[in-house]
Amino acid sequence: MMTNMPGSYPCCVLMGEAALKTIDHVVRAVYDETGTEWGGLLWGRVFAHPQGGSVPVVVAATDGICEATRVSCNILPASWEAGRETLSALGITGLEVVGDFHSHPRMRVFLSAHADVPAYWSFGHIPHWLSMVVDPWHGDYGIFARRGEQELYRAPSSLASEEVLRILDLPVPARLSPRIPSAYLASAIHPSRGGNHDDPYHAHSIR
Amino acid sequence: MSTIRTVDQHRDGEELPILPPSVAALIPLDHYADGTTSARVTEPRSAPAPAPLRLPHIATVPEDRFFHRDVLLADGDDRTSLVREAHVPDWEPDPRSATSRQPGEPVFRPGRVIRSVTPVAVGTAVTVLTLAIAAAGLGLMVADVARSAANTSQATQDLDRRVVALEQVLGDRRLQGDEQYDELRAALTAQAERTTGIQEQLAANPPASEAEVTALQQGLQSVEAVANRAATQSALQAEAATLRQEVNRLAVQLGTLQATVNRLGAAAPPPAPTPTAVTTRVEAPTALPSPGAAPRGPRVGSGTNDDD
Repeated sequence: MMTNMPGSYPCCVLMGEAALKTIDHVVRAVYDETGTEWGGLLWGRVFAHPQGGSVPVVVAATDGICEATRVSCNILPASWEAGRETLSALGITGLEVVGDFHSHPRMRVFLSAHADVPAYWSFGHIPHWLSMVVDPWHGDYGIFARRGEQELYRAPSSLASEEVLRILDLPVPARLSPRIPSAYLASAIHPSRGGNHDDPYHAHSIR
Repeated sequence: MSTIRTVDQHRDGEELPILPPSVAALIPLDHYADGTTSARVTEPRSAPAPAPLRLPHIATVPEDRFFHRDVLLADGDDRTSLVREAHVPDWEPDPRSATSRQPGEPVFRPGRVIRSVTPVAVGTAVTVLTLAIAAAGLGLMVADVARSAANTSQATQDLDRRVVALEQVLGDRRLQGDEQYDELRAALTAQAERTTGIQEQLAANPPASEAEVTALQQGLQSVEAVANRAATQSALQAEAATLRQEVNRLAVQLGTLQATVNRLGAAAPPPAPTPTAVTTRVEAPTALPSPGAAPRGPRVGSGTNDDD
């Protein structure tokens, strides 16, 4: 399989447990609170597989600043800076955004044709870009990536242990990324409402 | 979901660090060689059987309430619909992305896109029209048989070839329809799951505002669009079946006509020698006569100057 994977398209994806647990926690918390979808960013580093293709390694996930409904989720540009601040507060540096994630509460995992697929192709210039869709309520987690110039597929994915992350010289998060407080989210979307910009991470810490 | 990219994500041309062999060798890609996942498309038919997982660090997940390895690895056949859905070309370039494709620039590989229904419908209409033309020509042939059995024999051969051509066209249409059917069925399956999810949400937590109702309606619109396409597909298949019946009917009529020709040919006196300079032949009309126009008789042409 890998020998047929052209260019630097992902032949598989590795994900650290901290990232996956963060995603699970964030989307569950938002759904419990508001009943909507939610999303965020995947942070990590991309490697080339010796036999061809690339291997994005997702080390961490950060909560997004989103406009979401029960059936939609817009991950706003402020999510990038907020995510960077979150990781910095956790002492994690040297990672880049390798993709995004969002939830499909009780809707199973797929890329919707009318929203998710166009959103993916807005990142079409990044060969290894990942789009992860999760439905923890059905135990369904999927990572979609390119495997051709204009073709998407659900990439084989595996969990990477801390030992593997260390071999790859990647940081190992000591704790999960926190949820961004609701007040901060409101101010990011609607600045006139104000919000706690000084310490957006003091609350909702998972550990 | 939609996202707006930032400017620091462009990595085209960047050299990636090579995955250390100690990790690369442990990635259980062989797990996907069994043909049960979306990776099958890139696998040769002779791919080896799934190998045992060899990476305890990656493959083993603590038994907690969060995840199980199979959850993340799960990529069963029913998800192949996701790959198919990814080909639906209903996106628009994001004007906020500097590297978005330009309007009109092809994005999806030709042949992988769910084709528009309209060209198929037009093609079907053309086929029906051609059949009508053939039928009209056949009617004219019946009158010609009485006058010229030999010439009609040539015409029946032409019609025979025309039926064969129509059969070919019909076969192509059906193949095209089958492809659309598969794609639509996959998309419909995915949307049906989404519909079920929305229904569960509604049952568990009814919408509290008009905005929420609107959002739900927008979510359902995509389901409706797929359903409409599926319905159109069904209509096309029914139309194809009708066409098939029409071709069969025409074939029967052709057989009857051939029998008449044979009978007349057996009863008629031997035909007079045919002039070599000018011959008379019969052709099916190439267009339907306009309303009120006089019926068209056999067309006369030169055997050596066939420019009519």
